[in-house]
Amino acid sequence: MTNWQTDIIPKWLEEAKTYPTKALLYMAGEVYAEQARRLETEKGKLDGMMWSPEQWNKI
Amino acid sequence: MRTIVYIAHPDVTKSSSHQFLLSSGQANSEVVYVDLNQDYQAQNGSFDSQAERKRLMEFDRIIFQFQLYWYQAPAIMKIWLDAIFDTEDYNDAFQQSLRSKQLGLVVIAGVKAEHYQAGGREGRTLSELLSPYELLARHFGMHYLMPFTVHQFHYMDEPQKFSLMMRYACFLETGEASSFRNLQYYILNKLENLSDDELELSATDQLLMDMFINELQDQADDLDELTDINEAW
Repeated sequence: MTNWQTDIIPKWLEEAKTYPTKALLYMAGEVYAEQARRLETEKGKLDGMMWSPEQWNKI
Repeated sequence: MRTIVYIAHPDVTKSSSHQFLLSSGQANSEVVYVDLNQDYQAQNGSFDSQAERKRLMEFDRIIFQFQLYWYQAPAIMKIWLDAIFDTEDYNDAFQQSLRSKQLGLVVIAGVKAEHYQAGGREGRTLSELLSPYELLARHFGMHYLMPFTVHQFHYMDEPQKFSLMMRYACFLETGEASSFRNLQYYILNKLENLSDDELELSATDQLLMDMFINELQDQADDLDELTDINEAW
């Protein structure tokens, strides 16, 4: 699995020709990592709700 | 949506935070900037109210950008507001045109965000300090945007400045910077439109970039879907 933030984006940052492009690439890496964190949280939330007996009674 | 930013500062050229934001906005969006102090000086210490109102009516999103001086905007902001919103001078068409517009603030503060709260060093929230602008928007039926705040610019390192640049540009373009969902689609759109002038990639790196954009898009879709399911549960 590609680790964008450590393996790829730093190289693109060096090759970026403008400061705003560097900012965009850096932020894209941050957004990617935050998406992954939020996906884990949402999955955990869903798992938690599915295992709640209180929710079973509503079905 | 057309955006105009009014900067209130005694001398924008000497403010590194304003200069940084100005460069960020100009590099990333089509906004129009107005240096209020410069305009005021150029017109011998006055504003042409009619011309200012005419210009204002051409935009959909109006942003006031200033540094807090003793918990308020610099004096030039108030001078401009008094000139433009002079109740004896403006007409119904102007008032009517404001109803469909958004009003936003970009506020630069020298102290940490956490100090602006009850019990904090400053003892008041920024929302309280900025409430006159919210009331102005409410008075004219404008949509008041959640303020974009910058704290302790001078202590920011490079990654923090990268982040500030993109969140600020996102705020100017979309009117919202605090929504992660909004920010991710803004970044995706910017990445998809990168030109060779900005980043020239080898064929292999271009393939990697396409993969990266696809993964960002897939994660955004998955996140939307999961959030919807969880909210509907």
